[in-house]
Amino acid sequence: MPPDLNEHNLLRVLRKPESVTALTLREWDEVIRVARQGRLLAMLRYRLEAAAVLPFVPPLPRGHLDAAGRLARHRHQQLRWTLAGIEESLRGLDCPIVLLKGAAYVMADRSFALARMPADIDIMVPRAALDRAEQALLDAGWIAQVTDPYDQRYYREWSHEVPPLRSPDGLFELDLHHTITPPAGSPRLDADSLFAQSIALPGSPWRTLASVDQVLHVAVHLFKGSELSSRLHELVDFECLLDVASRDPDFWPTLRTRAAELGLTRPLWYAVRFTQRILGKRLPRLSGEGSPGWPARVSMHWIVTRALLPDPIDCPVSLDTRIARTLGAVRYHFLRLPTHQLLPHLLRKSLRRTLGLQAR
Amino acid sequence: VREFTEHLRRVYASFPMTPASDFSDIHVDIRHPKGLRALIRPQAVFAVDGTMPFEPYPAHSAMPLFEWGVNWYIARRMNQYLLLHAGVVADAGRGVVLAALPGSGKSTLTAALMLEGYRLLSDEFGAVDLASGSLASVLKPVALKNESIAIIRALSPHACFGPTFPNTRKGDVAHLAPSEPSVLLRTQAARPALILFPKYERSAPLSLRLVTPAQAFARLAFNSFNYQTLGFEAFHAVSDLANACPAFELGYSGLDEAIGAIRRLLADEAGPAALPA
Repeated sequence: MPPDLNEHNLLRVLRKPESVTALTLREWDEVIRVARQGRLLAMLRYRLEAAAVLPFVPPLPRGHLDAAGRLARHRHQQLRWTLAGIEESLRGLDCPIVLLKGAAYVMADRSFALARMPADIDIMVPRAALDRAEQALLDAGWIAQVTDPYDQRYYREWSHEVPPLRSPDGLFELDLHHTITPPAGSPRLDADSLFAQSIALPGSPWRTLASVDQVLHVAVHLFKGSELSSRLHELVDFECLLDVASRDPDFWPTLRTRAAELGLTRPLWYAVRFTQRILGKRLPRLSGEGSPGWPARVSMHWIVTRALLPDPIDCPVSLDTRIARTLGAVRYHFLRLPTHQLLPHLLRKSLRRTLGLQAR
Repeated sequence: VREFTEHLRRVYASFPMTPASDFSDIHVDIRHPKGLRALIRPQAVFAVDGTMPFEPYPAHSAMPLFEWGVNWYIARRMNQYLLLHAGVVADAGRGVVLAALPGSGKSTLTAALMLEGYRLLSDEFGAVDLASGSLASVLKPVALKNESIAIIRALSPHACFGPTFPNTRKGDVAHLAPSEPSVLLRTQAARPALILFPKYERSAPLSLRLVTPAQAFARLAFNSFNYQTLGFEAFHAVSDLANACPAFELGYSGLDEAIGAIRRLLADEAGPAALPA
């Protein structure tokens, strides 16, 4: 049975915050739990506040929304604190340091930043400075999370980031990138131009990606760099970024040109498409650029509308959702590695898991 | 999990069932894990919001797993309140906060006060409402450990206990059901009236030492589950609390003596100045 997106209470509330006034307590119970599972509880509060309907939320669910808002505020404080430490560790590096995703939204004071629950920190340095940056962080007490030599090699050869590091106080995981897409599987993206177009944050040593590149990064991260499962919050990020960036009248034409330049028209097409379909957002049409053929379009629609949503509550994940998630994972692996390397890689991973050896 | 249902019925007997149309703060699932293991030595898992944060327990000890799991969840998530690590009882709407580190006899004293007729709000969480500063009830059975179980059993023949679970990771544990008035009044908040830092010491004489608001602030704030998470809101809530009520360190070895002292403190309308420092 295809999921009816209009019947999904959380989606409806995210689309139309005013509709919360009609929710029964029983429905609130579900919305709060689904939003929490989808890492969207603080975002929900933010949207209700922006729509001035927060006072209409009954006290019990309201308490949970406020609690999530406080937790998010606290995590942001920790994030700023941790970034200050990173800045100190990387000071001698003498290269541009670009904050990606959550860290960038926070340090650039984006209004929606406080509504996100930051889980990890992503920063990008030029490839030439990557080893020195990693070493500087290790010297400062950051802890390598991947010690297995095979996994280490996988990251270094086939990934756009070094193996994740954990902060000395254990609060955050850090992904140190040198570009925004995995090097294999598609034409290589010009990382130099990401740095060239990046913007300095006034009064700080940090840079962020240009606003179109930030939008493209979320699109490519979701539709190329993830298994799609339970990633609704990333689509919401995409929508929030568009809301801010599209105030600039030149934004859409610039975005199209840039997507073509970086070879990211396909992920952008998907991101725009599903923001319209799932979040009910009105967006300009992307006249065919990046549009996949109909088989891919139909199958992606089937997969994404099932896999992306948070798990339902009080009932097992349905068979078609499980299938959609498996397909999402398969797709992810095929996009990431060339087939002749993918098969040995997956075989090795699954053998190791079967034999009960430590695998990540 | 059959044993669990039985135990839950016993210690939560006075609580009404919540209608399905209502909102619940926490949704916990206690169930047998899948697999053949069920045939040999059955286990129970604790699931909340689709996650299973703990290793499975033997099925017969599902009750302590449930109680700890729920406490863990409250401490992590319920940032609606400032959560002090404290037992709370009330007498005619006046709340007594018994803040202490684990092992200082907080639960035992809280349980004894409840059996003396005080209303129980919680043996674990001093839940301070951030807007009003009043104490909310986070009512659950009192978890008693080791020797405390026999001591509290001896206090009152009417005390309703669940079974004793021997040799859990916190030693022997038994749950004492909240008294009926505590359950009936569980939605009513109490005004904080007295802060105590109880300290049980074997064969120590009863002692009462005045604690200044500044000291009380530090001891409450740094023994709280979410002081850091709440930031400035927590700072205001704790300082209001420390300024509003007298605070004492209470050293005791006999529960009767301690209860008597608390009764006198609450009765003493003259406030802290008239009490021995």
